[in-house]
Amino acid sequence: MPRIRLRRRAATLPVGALLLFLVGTNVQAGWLFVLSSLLLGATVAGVVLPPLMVRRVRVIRRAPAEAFVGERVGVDLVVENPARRPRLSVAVRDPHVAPAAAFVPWLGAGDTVTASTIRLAARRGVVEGGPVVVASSAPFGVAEARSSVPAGGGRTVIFPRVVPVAALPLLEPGVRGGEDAVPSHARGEGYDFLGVREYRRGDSLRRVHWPSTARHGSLVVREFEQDRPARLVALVDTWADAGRTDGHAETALDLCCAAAASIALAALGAGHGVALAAGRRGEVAPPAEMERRDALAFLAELEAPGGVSLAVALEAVGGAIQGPAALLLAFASWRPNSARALLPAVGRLTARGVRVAAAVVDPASLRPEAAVLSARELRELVSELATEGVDVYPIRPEEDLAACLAGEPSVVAG
Amino acid sequence: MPGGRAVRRGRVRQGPEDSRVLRVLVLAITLLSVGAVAAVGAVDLPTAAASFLLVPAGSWLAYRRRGKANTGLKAVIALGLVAALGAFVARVQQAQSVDEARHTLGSLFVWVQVLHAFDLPRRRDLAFSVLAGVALVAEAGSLSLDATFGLFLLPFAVLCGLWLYLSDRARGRDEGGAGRLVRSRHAGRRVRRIAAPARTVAGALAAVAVAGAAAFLATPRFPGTLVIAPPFSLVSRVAVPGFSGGVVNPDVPSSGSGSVEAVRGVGYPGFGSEVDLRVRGVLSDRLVMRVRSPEAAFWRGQAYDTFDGTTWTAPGSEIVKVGKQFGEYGQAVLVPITDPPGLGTRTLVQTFYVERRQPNIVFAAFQPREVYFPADFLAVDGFGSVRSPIILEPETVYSVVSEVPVTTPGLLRSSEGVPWPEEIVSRYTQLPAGLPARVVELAHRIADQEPTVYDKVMAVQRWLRENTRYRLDIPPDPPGADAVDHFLFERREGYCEHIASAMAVLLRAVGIPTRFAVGFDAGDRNLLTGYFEVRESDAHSWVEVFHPGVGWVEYDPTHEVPIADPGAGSRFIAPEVFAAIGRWLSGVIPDPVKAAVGALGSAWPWAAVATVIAAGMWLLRRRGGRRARRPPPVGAEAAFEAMCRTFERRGSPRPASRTPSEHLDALLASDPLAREASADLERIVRTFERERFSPRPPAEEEVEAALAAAAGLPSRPSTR
Amino acid sequence: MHGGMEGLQRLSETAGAVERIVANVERVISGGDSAVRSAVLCLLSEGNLLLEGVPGVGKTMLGRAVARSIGGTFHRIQATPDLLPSDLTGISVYDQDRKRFEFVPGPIFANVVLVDEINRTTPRTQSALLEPMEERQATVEGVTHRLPDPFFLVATENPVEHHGTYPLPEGQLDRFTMAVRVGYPEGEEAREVVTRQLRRHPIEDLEPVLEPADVTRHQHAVRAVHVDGAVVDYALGLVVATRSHPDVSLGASPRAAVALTRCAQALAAASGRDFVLPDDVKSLAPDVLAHRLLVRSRPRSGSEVGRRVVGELLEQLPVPLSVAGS
Repeated sequence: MPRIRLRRRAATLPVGALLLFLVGTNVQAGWLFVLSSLLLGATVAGVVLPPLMVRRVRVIRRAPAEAFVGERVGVDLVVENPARRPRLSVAVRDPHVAPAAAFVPWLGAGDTVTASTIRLAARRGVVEGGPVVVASSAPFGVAEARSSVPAGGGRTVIFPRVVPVAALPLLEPGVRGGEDAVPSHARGEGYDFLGVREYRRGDSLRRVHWPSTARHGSLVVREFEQDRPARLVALVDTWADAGRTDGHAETALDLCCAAAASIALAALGAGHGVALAAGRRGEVAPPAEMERRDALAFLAELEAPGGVSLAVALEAVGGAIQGPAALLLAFASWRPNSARALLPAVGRLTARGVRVAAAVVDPASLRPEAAVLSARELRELVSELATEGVDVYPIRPEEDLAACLAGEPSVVAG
Repeated sequence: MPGGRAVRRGRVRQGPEDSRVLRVLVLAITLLSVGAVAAVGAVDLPTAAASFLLVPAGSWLAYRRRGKANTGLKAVIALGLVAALGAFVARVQQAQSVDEARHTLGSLFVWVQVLHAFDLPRRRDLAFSVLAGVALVAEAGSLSLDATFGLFLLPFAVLCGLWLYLSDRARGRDEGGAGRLVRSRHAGRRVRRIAAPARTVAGALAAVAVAGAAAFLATPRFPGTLVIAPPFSLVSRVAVPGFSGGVVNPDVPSSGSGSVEAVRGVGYPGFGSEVDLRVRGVLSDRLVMRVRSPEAAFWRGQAYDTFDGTTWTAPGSEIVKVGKQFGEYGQAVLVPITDPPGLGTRTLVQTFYVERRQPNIVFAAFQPREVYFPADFLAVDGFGSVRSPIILEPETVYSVVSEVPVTTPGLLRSSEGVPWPEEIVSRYTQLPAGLPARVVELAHRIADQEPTVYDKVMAVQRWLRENTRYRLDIPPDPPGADAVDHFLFERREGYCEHIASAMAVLLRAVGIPTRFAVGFDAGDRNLLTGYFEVRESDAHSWVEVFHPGVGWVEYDPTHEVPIADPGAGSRFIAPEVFAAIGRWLSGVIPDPVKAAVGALGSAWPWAAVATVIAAGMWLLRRRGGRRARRPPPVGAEAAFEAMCRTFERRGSPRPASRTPSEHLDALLASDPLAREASADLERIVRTFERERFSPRPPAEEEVEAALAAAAGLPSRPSTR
Repeated sequence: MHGGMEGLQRLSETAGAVERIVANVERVISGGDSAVRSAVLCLLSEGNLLLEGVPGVGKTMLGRAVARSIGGTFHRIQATPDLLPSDLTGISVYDQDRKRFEFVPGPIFANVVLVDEINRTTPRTQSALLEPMEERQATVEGVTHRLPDPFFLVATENPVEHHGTYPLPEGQLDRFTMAVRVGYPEGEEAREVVTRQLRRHPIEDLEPVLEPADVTRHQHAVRAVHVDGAVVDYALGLVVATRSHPDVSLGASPRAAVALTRCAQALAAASGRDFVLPDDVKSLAPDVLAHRLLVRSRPRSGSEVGRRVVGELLEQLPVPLSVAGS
C-alpha cells in the first residue's frame, strides 16, 4: 500500500481555492466558484492519481558484487512496467551503497527502462540488496506516493580502502636471531639451496628444476633460503568502534581494516602468504590463510564490537603462529589496549623471532563508543612497543593513510 | 552500515531554468490571462495591445539573459512597478464606484505581469508568473457577465494543468541526477505511440473534471458580504422629459384609449401606469437584464391597488422625490419604507446589469432600502416602487440593498389576532363596482372554513391551481365582461395577470387586504456565472397580501411557489444543476422511454438505481473478461510460473531477460531453499523447456510431476 | 516431425562428434576451451570464424588443429600489405604446351583456410574473400569455381591499435559468423602451454577424428534442429534492438539473425538437444553479434564496445516464455 506524502502544492492549491471562494462569495461572481472548484479538483486528482502511478512497477537492481572504498560504483536500475497503463514521472530512490535516484518521466505499458547511476562507495562493508523506493507525484505534483519494492537480491561487498604501501620493514629482509630464524622476505637470488618445491604462480621459470620436473610430471622449482616467503598474520582489533563525524567518512575500525588491507595486499603482491584474524562474536578463529579476494571480503565484513579484546586475541593468535611469520596488529587506542595489557604477549612473540608491526589508530577526533586511552597512556604504549622492537605506525583520521604507512615507524609525538 | 555521499536531496538551490517548453507554456498562460482581462473590458485597448507585444519580447529577453545577474534590468522593473502602483493609487481615489476601481486594479495586475515577464531566471519566477496569471483570470472572471468567459477559462485551465505536470517533471529530473536511461520495448507487443499518452492525459483531465464538478456542486453559495460599495455605472444618460415621478415606458404609447391593442414583443406593457387585462400578446425571449443576487426573488417593478373590472390602476399613490445621502456602502438613495414589517428581515444585495432598454423603473426585490443609482435623485411611490429620472439604457448598472421579510407558515399563522390597521383595510379591499355576486360567493366558499389568514390565502391559491390553467394563447374577453369573472367561470384559462387578479379579487372579497404587483420573475440562474438572466418572457405579476403584525407578503398563484425559507438546501446549487441536467435529458430522451418511465410511477428511482448497478456489473465483467482473455497457463508453464512466484515472494524475482535455466542457476546460488529443492527445480525447469521449445512435448506424467513439485515448494520448511 | 527418433540419434552423434573434435584440438591448444568450442560450433554452422587477440596466443594453432581433426586440407595464408586478390583466389596461367589457359587454384581452395592477420592487408584484397565466405565459390576471370565442401575460413586479427593494420570493412565483418576472443592463458593453462611443448609440438601427432563427409552430414543435422517461433522472434528482436541502441551507429543486419539462429542450432545439437533454447541464443549472441556493430564512440577497437552493447541488450530484452504471448 503506497504511502502518500503531501507536497507544498497540496497546501497552496486548496488555499488558493479558499481565497477564490471567499472573493467569489464577496463579489457574488459565479466564475470564481468554478475556478475554485477546478483548483480543488486538481488537488483531489493530484492526491488520488499518484498511488496509481506507483502500482505494479518493478525494479531490478544490477550492482557489481564487489567494489572498493572510494570507487565509483555503477549500479543499474531496471525499471519495468508490466501493467496496461503507462506510468508517469516515476522516481526510484535506491540506498544501495550510496543514496541515488533515477527519474523516468514516462514508462509506457510494458516498457522497460534501464537507468545507470554512479555511486561513490564511502565505507567498507556488506551492502545487502534491499528494497528500493518507487515514488511518483504525477501528474500535478500535489502529493507523492511512495512504495517500497524489492529489487532482487544481490549484495555488494565493499572492500576496505587499499593504499599503496611503500616498502615496509615488515616485508623487507632483516636477519634476526631466534628459534625460527626470521627469513628475508625479498625475492631474489639467494645462495643457500634449501630444496625443491612445487611451482607456484609467480615463480620465475628460470628456477625450474628440469630433472625433477621430468620425474615429477609437473613443474618443480628450486628454493633458496632467502626465498622462503614468510607469512604475514594480521590481527584486527574489533573491541569497539568510533563513529564518523562530519569531517571524516570512515570510522576507526574502517581505518584499521584499511591499514590491514593495504599491508596485506602489499604482502600478497610480494609473494607472501597472508592470514587474517579478528574477534568475531566473542571468539577468535585461528588465522586462516587467504587469497586476495577472501582477505578483502573478510576485512569488509568485520564489525564492532567483536567481543574479544586485543590482548586476549593476541594470546590466541600468538599461539597459532608457526614458522616464520610477521604479525601486524591493527587497533585503536581503546582502554583495554594499554601497554600493560599488550606488552607481555608482544614480548613473547618478538622473543620467538616474529617480526611485529602495529598500526595504531587514534580515535580522538571521531566519536568513540568506548573508553579511550589518554594521550599520555598512548604515548607510553607506543614507546614501550617501539622499545620492544615493534614498528609502530600511528594513524590519525585527518592524515592521509598512505603517508601514515609510509612514514618512518617512530615514536608518536604527542 | 555503509553509506555514501548523499545525492542532492530536498531543497535544491535552483539554477536558471533552461527548459524552453516551460517558458513557452508560461508565455501562453500569461497571454491568455491578459486576453481574458482584455475581453472582459477591465483594461483599455492600448494597454492590452502593448502587453501582447511586450510580454513575448520580455519572455525572450528573460530567456536569453537567464544566467546573468541583470541588476540594471531589475532596477528598471522595480521603477516600473512603483510607477504602476502610483498610477493605480491615483486613479483609485478618483473612482466613482467599485467597478471603476476594479478596472484600475485589472490594469495594475496586467502591468505587473508585463514587467515581471522581463526577468524570469528560475522556475520559481515562472511559477510566480503562473500565479499572477491565475489572479488575472480570477479578476476577469469576477467581472464577466456571461458564459463566454468559459472560452478563456477552459484552455487556461488545461495550460495550468500542463504547467503543474511539467514543472513537477522538471523537479523530478533535477532530483534524478544525470543517470542515463535506456529504453526497451516488450518484444512482440505492439505499442501505439499516440494512443497511450492521449489516454493518460484524458484520464487525468477526467479525474480533475469529476473532482472539480463534485467540488462545484458542493460549494455553498452564501449571500456574501460586500464590504465595498455595490457597483453602479452608466454609459449614456437619457433623461425622461418632464420627469415628475411617473413611469415612462418607451415601448408603449401613453395609456388611455379604451381599445385594446395587440402587443407583439416590444416590451411588457404592464410597466406603465395601468395594467389592462384585455391586452393579448407574445413576449420574446430576448435577454432584458442580468441580476447578481445571492438568492432568487421577484424583481418588483410596480404595484396597483384599484381594480375596475378590467384594469388595475394606482390613482392615489403619492410620489416622493428622494435625493442621495450617505448609505451603508456609499452615496445612495435611501428609500423610505412605507410599511415597516413586523417580523424579521434579511438583507439582500442585488446588482442589475441592464441589457435592453427598459422603462424608468428601478426593479428590485421587495422592499428596497438603499438604491445605488447613477442619478442624483429618485422618485418613490406609495407602494415602495422606485422610478428613475433616466431611461434604463443598455449597460446601465445599478445596485439595490433590500430588506426581504423572513416568513414561514408557522410565523404567519401565529400572527393571528393582531388587528388590521383601518386604512390598510379600506384601501386594499376595494372591489370593482360591477363584480358579479358569484365571485364573492366563490370566495367565501373557498376561504371561510379556514382558520387563519394564511390558510385562507393558501386555500384560494390551491383552488386556483386546481381549477384554472395557465395558458398564453387565449381568446379576447367579450366586451363589457368583468375580466376576473369571465376568467373564473367561463374561460378558466389565462396568464399570470388573470390568475393573480383573480386571487386578489377573491381575497379582497373575504376582506383580506391584497394588492396587485408586476415585475420580473427571478429568471434562470446561469450556473457558471451565478447571475440570474432575466428575459422579456419572465415578466410576471403576482399578489401581495397584508398579514397583520407581519406586513406585506408576496404570493405567486401562477407557480404556487411556497414561501421560501432559505434553509441549508438553497445554499447549494446542486439541485439546480440536477434540474438542468434533468431538463436536458428529458429533451433528449425519446417519448416511449419517457412513457415507460412514467408507467413505473413512483418506483422509478429504484429502477434507475437497479439499471446503474446492472450496467456497472456488466462493465466490470467485460473488463475482467478482457484480462482473463489471456488464458491461465497450463502444464509445465504453470509449474514454472508457480515456482517463480514462490521465489519472488522470497525476494528473488525473475527478471524478464533471464531464461529459465539462468534463473535456476541464480536461485541455486542465492537461495538456500532452492539448493534444498534443487532436484525438484531442475525437473520443473527442464520439463518446461521441453514443453515450450521442443517439437515433442514432454509426457503427461512428467508434467504432472513438475506441477506437483511446484505445488510442494511453498510448504517446504525453509531455512530462512 | 517424421523421423523423430532417428533425428535424435543423429543429433547425439553430432554431440559426440563435437566432443571428439574439441578434445582432439585441446590436446594441442590449452586454455580457451570456449574458443575451441566456438570454433567447432562455427564449423558446424557452416560459417566463418574471426579470431581476435594479441599475437602468440595460439590462433594459428587452433586453425591447424581443427583442420587436422576433420581430416581436411589446410592452407595458411599470411596476409601482408602487398597481398593481391589473385594470390588468394588463383590465376589463369597460359600453358605453352597445351596452348590454353589453365586455372591454378589459389590457397583458398582447401577445407580449412586460415588467413593470418587479415587486417594487415588492404581492403581490396580482403574483399576478394567476400564471395568465398558467403557463397563458397570463387569467380576468376568470369569462371566460377566451387570451393571444397566443407569449407571453413578462419581469420585472425590483430588489435586495431597495432601498427600497419587496416580496419575490416563492415560487409566483410558481417560475413564472419562469429568473432571469438582468444586471450592469455591463466594459471594451470599457462603451465600446460609450456609443459606440452617441452619436447615436441603435439600438432605433429594429431590424428583426424572425423572425415570431411562426416562434417557435411553433421552440418545437415544441425540444420534440422527445431527452432520454436518464439526463439526466432527473440533472436530477431535482439538484432533489431542493436539498431536502436544509442551507442550504435549501424546495427546488425538480417544476415546476423540467420547466423545467430544457425549457431544456436549448432549449440543445441552439441548439447544433445533437438530443440533450441533461448539460452543458446543468449550465450552465443556476444560472439555472433558484437563484431558486426558499428559503434559511435571511438573508432572500433575490436569488439569490446560491441560486446558491452550486446550484454546490455541481453539484460534488457525479455525472453519469450508464455505461450499466450508475454
